[in-house]
Amino acid sequence: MHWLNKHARLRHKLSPYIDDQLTASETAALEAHLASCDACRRRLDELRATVSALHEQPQAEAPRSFAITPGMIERKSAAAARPLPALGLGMRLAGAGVALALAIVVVGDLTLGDNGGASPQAGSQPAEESRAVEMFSDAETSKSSESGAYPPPSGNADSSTTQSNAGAAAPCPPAAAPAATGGGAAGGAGTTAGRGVGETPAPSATQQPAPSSTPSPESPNVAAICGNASGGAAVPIAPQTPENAAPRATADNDGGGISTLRIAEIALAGVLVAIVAAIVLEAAMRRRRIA
Amino acid sequence: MGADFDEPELIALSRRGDLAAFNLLVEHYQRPLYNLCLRMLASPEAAEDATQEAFIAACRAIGRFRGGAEGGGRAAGFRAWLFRIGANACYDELRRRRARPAASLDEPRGPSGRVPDIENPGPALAEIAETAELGRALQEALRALPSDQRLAIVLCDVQGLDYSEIAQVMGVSLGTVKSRINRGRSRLRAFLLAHGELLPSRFRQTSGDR
Repeated sequence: MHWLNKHARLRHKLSPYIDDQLTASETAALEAHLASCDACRRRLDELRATVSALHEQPQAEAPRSFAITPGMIERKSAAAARPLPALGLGMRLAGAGVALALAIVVVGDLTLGDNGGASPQAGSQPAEESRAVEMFSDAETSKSSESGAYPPPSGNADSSTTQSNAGAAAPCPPAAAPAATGGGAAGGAGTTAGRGVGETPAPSATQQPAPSSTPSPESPNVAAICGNASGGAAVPIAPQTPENAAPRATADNDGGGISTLRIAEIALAGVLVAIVAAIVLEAAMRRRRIA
Repeated sequence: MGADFDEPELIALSRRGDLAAFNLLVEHYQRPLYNLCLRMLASPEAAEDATQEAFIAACRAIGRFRGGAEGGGRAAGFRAWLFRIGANACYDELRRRRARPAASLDEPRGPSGRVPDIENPGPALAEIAETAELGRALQEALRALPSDQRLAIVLCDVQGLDYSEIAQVMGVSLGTVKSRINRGRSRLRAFLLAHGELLPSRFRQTSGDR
């Protein structure tokens, strides 16, 4: 056993021995062994023969000149170097955009959902709806008397959804006759939430001149929040005037808005993960290629 | 090369964008680099493409080349740097071949009892292979090696680089270089023993020489 181990150990040293890569003591130990071991000596000879055979292989001539012309560098840099940074920048911008959209949706989700409890069922609806209304009242600086009953969520909503609030409030006049078309036109998540709009007249009315929140078709995410708000707001706060009543009525909003948000969150998170993965992968590949 | 080949000066000029100076470096290194690629890829066409690709990449990156600070002097540093770019070009090509296996030249073919013919032996490769049956067997044996071992063997035993320069080219430690060369040579030896009937006389001859 000891004998075998010694052979195995020393055989690893034959190759560096050929290249003079052993220390003096290693060399001495190996040579002492070689003097008494035919098998290892033959193996050394075979390795030497292999190495010298490689050394003796003729080198091929270069088939042509590989001199660089200015055109090679230009053409290549136009073809390869330029699109890559553009792609990288585009990916980063897209990533930032999706991340912002995700943040907006998540904030919207929390704002609409957390006060009413975990369940998006009918029982929790009033709280959600009122909060949603408050968001919009806040944006229009027309605070209702009952808003005092709730902790102002505007700090949360305003900071993160400044853009969407501004975008949503501006194109939503209180007398929003075309609310239905607005809801329908808003693509993506917003359409689901706004689908019930215009089907039934509002069954009740309140004293408060609630802002009718027409979903802005600017972006699906804005529309998602806006659509939710409009769908939810319509139940407790119906319009005073009949012409307002028709378009802002709602029939089916038990949890539809919340699940829409969930779907949007999942979709956006997925896209974000994909973009980040692509950026990381591309950077890794580039690093690997750099000499 | 000629007595007027002043590599550090040419590198310095190239870094300042002097293409003519860089092309003198190309002229000096194109043969070893082409042979490195040829041994790695076993295809003259692919080796030609990889060589050109490497010189183009080197030309663009020379501004970032830090002259051989890590031992071996500036000249060795530049060759190692250039070979590293060439090796990367070869690895890219090998990766592309793995993506479309039908065109692969990387994997050995045929039953192990016979040395299979080299597919598409271009003029350069045929020239090498025809020198001896041994050359053919060696080429086949090299192709059967994992690419890291093949690169180490080609750099060491074909190109004649020392271990520390190979470590620079491959970006690994000296110990890794040592073990790759050791394992590669062992495999080559086994392959040649199994395939070459001309080997025993060779062994006797070399063992008699040394």
